[in-house]
Amino acid sequence: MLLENLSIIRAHRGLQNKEFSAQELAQACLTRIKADNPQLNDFITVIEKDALQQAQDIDKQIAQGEELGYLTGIPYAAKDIFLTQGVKTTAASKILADFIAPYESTTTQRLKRAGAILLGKTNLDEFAMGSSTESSAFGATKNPLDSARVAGGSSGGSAAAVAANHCLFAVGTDTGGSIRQPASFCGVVGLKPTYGRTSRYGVMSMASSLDTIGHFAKNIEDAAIVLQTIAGRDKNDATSSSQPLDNYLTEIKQPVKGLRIGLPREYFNADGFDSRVKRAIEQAVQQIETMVGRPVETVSLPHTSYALATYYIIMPAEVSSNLARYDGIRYGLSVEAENLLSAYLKTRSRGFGGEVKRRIILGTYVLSSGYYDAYYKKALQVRTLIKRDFEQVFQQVDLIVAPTSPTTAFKLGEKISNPLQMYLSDIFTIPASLAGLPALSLPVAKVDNLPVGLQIIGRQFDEKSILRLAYALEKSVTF
Amino acid sequence: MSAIDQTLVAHLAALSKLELSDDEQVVFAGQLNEVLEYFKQLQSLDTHNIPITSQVIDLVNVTRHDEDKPTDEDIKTAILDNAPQSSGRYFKVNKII
Repeated sequence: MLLENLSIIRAHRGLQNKEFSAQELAQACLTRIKADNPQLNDFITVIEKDALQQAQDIDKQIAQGEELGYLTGIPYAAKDIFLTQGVKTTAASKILADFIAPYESTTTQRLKRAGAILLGKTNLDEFAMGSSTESSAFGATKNPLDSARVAGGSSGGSAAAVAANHCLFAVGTDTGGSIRQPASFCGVVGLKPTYGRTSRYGVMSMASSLDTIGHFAKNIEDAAIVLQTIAGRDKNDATSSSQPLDNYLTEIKQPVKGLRIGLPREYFNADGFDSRVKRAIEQAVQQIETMVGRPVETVSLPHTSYALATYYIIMPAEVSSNLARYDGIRYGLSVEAENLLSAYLKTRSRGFGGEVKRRIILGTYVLSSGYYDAYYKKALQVRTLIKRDFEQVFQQVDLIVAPTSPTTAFKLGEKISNPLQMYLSDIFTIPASLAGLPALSLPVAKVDNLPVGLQIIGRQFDEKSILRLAYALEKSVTF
Repeated sequence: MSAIDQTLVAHLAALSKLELSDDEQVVFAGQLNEVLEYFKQLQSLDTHNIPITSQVIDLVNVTRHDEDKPTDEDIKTAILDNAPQSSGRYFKVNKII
């Protein structure tokens, strides 16, 4: 059993055919994590005992001839922003360094019920704010393909864990690109479903109108399986949707001929877009044209250039509100002080890192009296314009293809001292987030041995079409 | 719209219950001004009569019955275990009044 050769489906067959046991599979992953984690730093917490206990229980089920679901006995990892009952959950922040989750998130609960085995909690940018994991209070995660480079962020640990064969899939969150960008940097599949397709219950909120729970996998079939398990209405999440799920495993195998695909001209003229990445994307687009049997149309999303500013007003505003709860009263770091105000100031100042503080202050500014209309309200109006751009385009085409990131994985330390430079690495992923659209990153090429991801964006709740195109494309790309 | 200076950063920090050193205030002011410059482009966009988007999947009035559903006692215990200071089934806090 070579972890490099295992996908969810292959592992599922291996377990069914008794080629190996769930314990052997979990142990193989845990051994590799133990060897790599000191360098890679993809895991904050590894829950070896629980994982092996769960694997042992599953092996008993297998021995009794019980039917196995696709995810039974499959090892996975969760970004350390998902509450996992009884397990330390830190959001990669000092303010929660010793916090033990008192309850379970819906997503990890659904995975547990399906028999998936949680191996540990992965590293992220503190409170999911960042594009490189360099803002983690526990050090950056290295890119498994080049240890001098970032794994991307904010779900860098989850992306790296799948790319390094530490697990067969991983869950993360994507607010402005935090699944898609690290997927592109690490050469794995990353899916951000439609906002509300998955449940945010038990996931620490960053920006409530944008946060979307999603996942990383080694291939599209695996991604479809995970989506089927975690998606769906949750009565504990008022923002989750009642839209019925499709049968994703069946849908991905439908023919792609005749699908209308659009390429937004504004994305291809963006500043800072690496020309070699551009060429790799163009080649993938040519493959797509052959597959669908018609030319990819050039479309226009006229408000694209306003998306970054819009996002960096709305998101920090929501962040400033969501992070008010970290006050040292009910949980987390609590600094002793002479009075309540001092306790708040000292706890929060010592507990939060620089990027978190920066975004809280920016959010407070754009929401404050005198600036609210000019910034926050304006951004909410521009959000409508951006959403309408997509609605217009989706009258002409079924799917939009675009780059995921303007560059391949950048070097550690390259952007961390310039916040605006760091924010610009999200230019291609942010618009779909603002419109609440599903989007996937599929590795399609390598430039200087570093992966390049193609982004496929679809209509709300049309994950099946995205996965269908990706499944067909995946079979024809080689790198 | 004024640019962000050190005084404003200090004021915003106080509003957000954050304590920043003098150096931090200066650095933040510089970084935030760069970000604000970038935001200026939004001002030139005509948004007259454009409605705001707060909810991106058109959900409306999602409510449930107002009923008392007691929390599991074990979860309550786990919650209190995280409390920096507690007394019985209560959180202990600094004097407010």
